[in-house]
Amino acid sequence: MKARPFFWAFVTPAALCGFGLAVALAALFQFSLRAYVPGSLEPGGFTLENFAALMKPLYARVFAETVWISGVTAICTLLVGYPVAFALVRTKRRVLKSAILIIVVTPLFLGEVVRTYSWIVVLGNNGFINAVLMKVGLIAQPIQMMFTRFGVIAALVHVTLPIMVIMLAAALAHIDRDFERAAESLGAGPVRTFLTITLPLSAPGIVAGLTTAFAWTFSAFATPQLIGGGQVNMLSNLVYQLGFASFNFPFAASLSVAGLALTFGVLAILRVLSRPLEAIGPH
Amino acid sequence: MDDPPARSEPAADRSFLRLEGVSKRFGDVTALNAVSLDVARGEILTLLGPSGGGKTTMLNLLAGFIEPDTGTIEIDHRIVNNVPPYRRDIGILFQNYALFPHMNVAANVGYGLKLRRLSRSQIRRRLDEVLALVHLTGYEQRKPRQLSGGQQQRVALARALAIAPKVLLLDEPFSALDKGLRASMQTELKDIQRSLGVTTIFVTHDQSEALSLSDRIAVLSEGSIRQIGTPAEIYVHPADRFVAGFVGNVNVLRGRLERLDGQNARVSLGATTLTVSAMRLGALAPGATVELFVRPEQLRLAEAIESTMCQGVVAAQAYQGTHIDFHVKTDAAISGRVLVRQAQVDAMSRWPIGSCVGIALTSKDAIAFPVESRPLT
Amino acid sequence: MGSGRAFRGILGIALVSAILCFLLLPALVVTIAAFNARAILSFPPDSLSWRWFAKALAYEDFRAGFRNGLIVSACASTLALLVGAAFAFVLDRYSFRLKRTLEAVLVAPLIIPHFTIGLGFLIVAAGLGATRGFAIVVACHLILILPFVLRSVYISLRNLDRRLELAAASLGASPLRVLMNVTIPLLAPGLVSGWLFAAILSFNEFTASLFVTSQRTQTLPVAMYNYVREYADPSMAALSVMYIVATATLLIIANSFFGLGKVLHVEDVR
Repeated sequence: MKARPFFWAFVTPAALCGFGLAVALAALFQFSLRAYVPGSLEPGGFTLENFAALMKPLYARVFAETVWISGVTAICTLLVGYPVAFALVRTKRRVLKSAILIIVVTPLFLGEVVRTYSWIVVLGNNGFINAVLMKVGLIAQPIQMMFTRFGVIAALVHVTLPIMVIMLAAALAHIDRDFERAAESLGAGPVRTFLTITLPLSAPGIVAGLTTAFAWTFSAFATPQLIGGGQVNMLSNLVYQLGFASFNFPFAASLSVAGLALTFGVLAILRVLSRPLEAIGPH
Repeated sequence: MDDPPARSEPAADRSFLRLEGVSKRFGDVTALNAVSLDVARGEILTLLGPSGGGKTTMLNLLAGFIEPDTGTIEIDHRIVNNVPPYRRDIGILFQNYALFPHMNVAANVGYGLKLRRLSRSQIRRRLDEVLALVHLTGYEQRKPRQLSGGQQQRVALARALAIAPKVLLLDEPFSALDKGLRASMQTELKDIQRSLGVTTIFVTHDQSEALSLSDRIAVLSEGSIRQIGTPAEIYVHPADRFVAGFVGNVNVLRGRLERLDGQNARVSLGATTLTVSAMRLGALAPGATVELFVRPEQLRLAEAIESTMCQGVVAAQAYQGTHIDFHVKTDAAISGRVLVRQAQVDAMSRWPIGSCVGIALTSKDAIAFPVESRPLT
Repeated sequence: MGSGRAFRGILGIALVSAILCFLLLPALVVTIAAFNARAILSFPPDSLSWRWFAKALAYEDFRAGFRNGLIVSACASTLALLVGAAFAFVLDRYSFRLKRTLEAVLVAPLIIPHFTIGLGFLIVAAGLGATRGFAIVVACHLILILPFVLRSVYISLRNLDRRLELAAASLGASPLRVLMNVTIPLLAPGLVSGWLFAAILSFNEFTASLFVTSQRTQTLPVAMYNYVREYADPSMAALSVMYIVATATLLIIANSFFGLGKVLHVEDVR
């Protein structure tokens, strides 16, 4: 006989929300199995046509592109974010810590559109980088960075960096410094200590960061849309196009469903690969 | 892993580890104030004191995790002020053991050995040796989280000893263990230290641990060493009131110096005159007020009508198995109470709570301090 | 401790500084571009002016978007706080059969693409015959920001000393009283920062909003997106600058009150 005050009051709203999400996903799934009726918003009868159409090289390419960009972005973000996370956690001066934290966290709260727009100003043919390089005389013609994969990935790394740094920093902060001291006392120099102790012990944070970075990038829309400008198409752009340009919602739905399956697949693989790391965990 | 070259006769190397004039400040706080210390090779020296007294700072300085502001630190006659921890050849046993969670026992213990570029078979041999020393043969594949507290501590010890360090530093190693385990681990540690002869610095705030384990004790408080000596010296002849109060129980009574008599002093307390040690009185003039520091076992209860040192009323009794502690309210004591230790089994019924008793001094080793005595710097 | 360490220190500082510059670059560049007197989005500007700021502030779509965004994020974040905090409480203290399942569902939006959720909600709205009003937008945002609130409050609850509640209960407080007088006040910093975090995320949410908002209900990010597709003048830059200044200020204030480091759990443990 266990008294559980507030139980129903607290669980019901959450259950309703969960139900709401489930309904939305179910609706999506249901739509993906319906035929597209051109010129009408109403779907037709049930069919597997949409999923068959996914096999077409055009769409397969978009899937591959999306996975590739998400993967590259995740890894680049990790490499760029680790030193910052390390500095954030290990620096002793309060002011410096706060400064780094504000600089890292602010972009997170700016929203996709503002961030992406700022990158347009940086990457454009009349933008910052080209202007500086031409002024200095390193180049004669502007380098094309807009509408290229490079531009999209650079902007995506910028978008994902804050969350990566936060997750890495949280993991690093939980590593007991005594482990490093012990390694030093046994004869390990700073580099060796980092490679054999700090890095392995931060592995759970690395996995969490990579997972989140991949998932976020997979769902990116504004950045590939505005900077890719039609040349670089990720899944989200295709879904939007089909939905609002062609009003082919059923196919858009099937793309989304396939995308979801893909995301879950990649994340499941990551999960399995990181199983041995679970043993470490924070202390 | 050869024996280190004999620089001097091991027994005669009194300053294998040496601190000279070492100070360390953290902002406004002076953690250590011009401390000097010599440790002989192979001895166990305990740094004893309350938290914040400077013992942890000293340990960190010896290990090389922090640098002193002034003074020099020498290990094996080599100044190590600028030598980083990974080149100092020291072994540390941390308070929470700090066993690498992502490595098994063999990898943990072998960590320092791998760094020294020994061959696989040499490492294996050393690993077996040192695990046998701590009675953990066969545990090589276990992970730290699969071990009990006592086992973890032994692995940590093995890891520190595997590299045959010049100095072994122990940071409150028994504080996380249960009482029963503590006693057996202390004995084991002492045996291991004796057989290896490694110079050991042991940090603790537990004075009974310090008394039982050490060759010598350095009592630290507020950044200074109050006294260094053997456990007996510290206990029987404390240098100042802090050491007297910190190590063991002590009663403080106020009396008047009648006259000095060589090693002894005649002190009057109420109607009686006592003979106590004059070691800490210097050249005090007769008539001066002194404080007597008396251990509970140096007192005994007596009938109130006997000519005793002072009178009092029994306030509480505490049965301790081997003896009984009596808390007696008396005006002669500065705090208003004295603790008297009686070994007789019938003492509890003979002097019940509320009864009037006399208190007598049974030993000449009680120490008198002048009232305005300042601590040793 | 030797020159080796110093060298590594300088290299490290250079690297981290370079990365921080990378993080700051767009913000700095767009700020300079916003003051460009000319209409072309170019760099560097020849002459400076405030006109784009004035234009951005006067532009009706931006104003409407701002209003709509405030309405949506206020509703969504408040609801998210109530639902999320309540469920975090249950997660921390009680167990029941489908607990882990429900938790997984509520946290799923972290890895489900926003366009997928947006599309799903759009289809549901169409199916219900509901016009794309505020309700569907708030519902969608609620689902999207709930995981963040849940996580934040859950961690705060885990760090709460239960003995304080037990002490209150032993002194005669009913469960409701304990909740009101002990639990909630102690959780207050975590609750407020979670709410703030959620509100900002909702205000800035773009992808799902693109799917579920209509002309009438479009939020500021959607309005900005539509603007950029048609016009190339620096009004957007001016708006971005205002955005950046507002956000950074909010965060600096939040940092001095709550210590962002603690809220995000990146403070050093030892």
